[in-house]
Amino acid sequence: MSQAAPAASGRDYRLDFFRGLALWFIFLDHLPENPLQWLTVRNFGFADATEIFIFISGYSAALAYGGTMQRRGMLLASAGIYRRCWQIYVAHIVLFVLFTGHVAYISVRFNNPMFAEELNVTNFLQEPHIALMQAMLLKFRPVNLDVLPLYIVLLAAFPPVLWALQRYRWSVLMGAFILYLIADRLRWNLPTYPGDGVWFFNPLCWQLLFIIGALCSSHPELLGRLRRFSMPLTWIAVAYMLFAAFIVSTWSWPQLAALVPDRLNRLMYPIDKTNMDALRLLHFLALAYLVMRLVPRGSAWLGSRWLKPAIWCGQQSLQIFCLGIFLSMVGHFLLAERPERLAIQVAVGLSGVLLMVGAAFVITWYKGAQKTPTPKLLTPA
Amino acid sequence: MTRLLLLAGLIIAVPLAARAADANCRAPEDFLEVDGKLKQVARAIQAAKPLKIVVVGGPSSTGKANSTPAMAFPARLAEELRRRYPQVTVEVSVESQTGVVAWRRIETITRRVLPAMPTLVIWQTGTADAIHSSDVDQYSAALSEGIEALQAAGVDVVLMDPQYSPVTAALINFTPYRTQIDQVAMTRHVVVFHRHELMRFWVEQGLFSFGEAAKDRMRAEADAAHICIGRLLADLIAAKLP
Repeated sequence: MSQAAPAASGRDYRLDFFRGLALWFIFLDHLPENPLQWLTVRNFGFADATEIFIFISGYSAALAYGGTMQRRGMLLASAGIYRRCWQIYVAHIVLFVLFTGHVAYISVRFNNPMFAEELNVTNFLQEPHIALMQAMLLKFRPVNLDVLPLYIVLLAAFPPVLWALQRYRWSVLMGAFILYLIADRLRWNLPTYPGDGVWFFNPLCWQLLFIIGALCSSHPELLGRLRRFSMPLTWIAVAYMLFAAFIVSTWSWPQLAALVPDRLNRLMYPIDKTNMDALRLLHFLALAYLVMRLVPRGSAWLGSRWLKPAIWCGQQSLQIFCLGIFLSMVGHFLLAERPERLAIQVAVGLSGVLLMVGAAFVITWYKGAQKTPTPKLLTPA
Repeated sequence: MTRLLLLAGLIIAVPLAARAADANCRAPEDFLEVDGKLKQVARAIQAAKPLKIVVVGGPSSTGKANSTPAMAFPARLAEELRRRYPQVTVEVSVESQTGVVAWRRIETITRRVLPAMPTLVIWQTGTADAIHSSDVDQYSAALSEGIEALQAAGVDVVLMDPQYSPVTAALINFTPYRTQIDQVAMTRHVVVFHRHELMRFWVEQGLFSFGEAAKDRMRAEADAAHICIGRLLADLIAAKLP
């Protein structure tokens, strides 16, 4: 973290690697219950892959557009951000269309009266014009299509934040923190369709993590200052991680739950994902701090060929994220069609990850090939 | 005539489905290892007083999917409890509305359930909230409020989480609501009947499919599943007597 100008010191492969990992985890966690899910981060603490994804998104957004803003001005940087926003919006609508096709197929074929109430969720097919409008307004987001709308809203609000981050970083952080607290207390959130639901990921709360990510990347010297307290911080982070791992394990092993005092339970629960509970935020920060200590920028092992698959995925994050969501729909579909044997579950999980890696490889190759100048042989001397 | 036919159907259907259920009523190993105690139920059984149970929730308890309402799990539960505690008068009633989210369910509980002075309320919850993507925090608060109202009135509570099928699990995100059910149960020491996990286990083991099939096959499967749910509910109640 000591390098001052990230652009000068080359790409930070840690971002790519961990974002790639987060994309795999998001895919696996979206599948029907799957043995491979035991490997994902949510089983070891409060935070899950969403926190990793949003933090790194904030970090890389500031990295990608902060430089442009400093060198070429606010206008160009904002244009770049809105271009990205639009890409994500289009990706979201494509996923929505795929999902709707899936639901339409199911609703024609599946009429088990035991699940009459559950099938009300397909009612939107009776008013497709309204559902489509609501989807375009990001109000109608069927299952597992929650992350991209959050990302769109965070990016859309980002240009002024990025500008302010370069001048009034502490005020920005304070503002983000206050908004997080107020939105949580007063239940501010964006509405959904149908009914009077709210966004599953409340952007007014999740913005805090995005902005913390942006702050870390636009002011790397702040992280350098933490070095003075590295011993106590490391111990606190380790202790908190162990505590979180223990609490999470009581969810799977009720015998352990008896060891947790009632007063602590009352204090901790509910641990809320919608408003990014403080326990989750702290867990992510502890995790990120320890990773930063253990894996310094430019660590040799980041160059290992074994990490390449995750790095490719992290570098093409939007495409791979969408592919992951699409593949998890396919996974649900496949597993609903046949008995859920363990071997099939593992096969679906593994082949999904392999497809993500394959696609990321092809995109990386294609982008690289586009950038390489035409071979000399073909250019006239 | 129709009534006679229904009766005949019942006489044939129950033993048939029951036989199928015997083989299939398996549960995950730790299914009964949940928190909580049912003190009021224990008291009623010890004193041989009437055991009044109200099942609150959606349409899965009314028997619309079953061959007859008598095959739905509330009636099966009553049957199982009568068999186990012959000295006790068991009365199971159903308070069901479709699509009612938890915070609106509190009204049902305070206005319609509590005046009947039940011994035990089995609260099916989570399905409507998951469908309407209710605010998870608010859902948890509503659940706590409902449980508090019941406990304050000296009523035992069993929470029952949403049903499972591979298809509906692909369409609806139950996880956050199931997590809240577990968390609220943990802080308030309330017994949970993990129906979702149970039905998933059945599908995984190949005992049930909960998919699309011919009408009578789906009905037979619903009957068998409800027999098992009734039986396992009785097992859970028996296991949670202090």
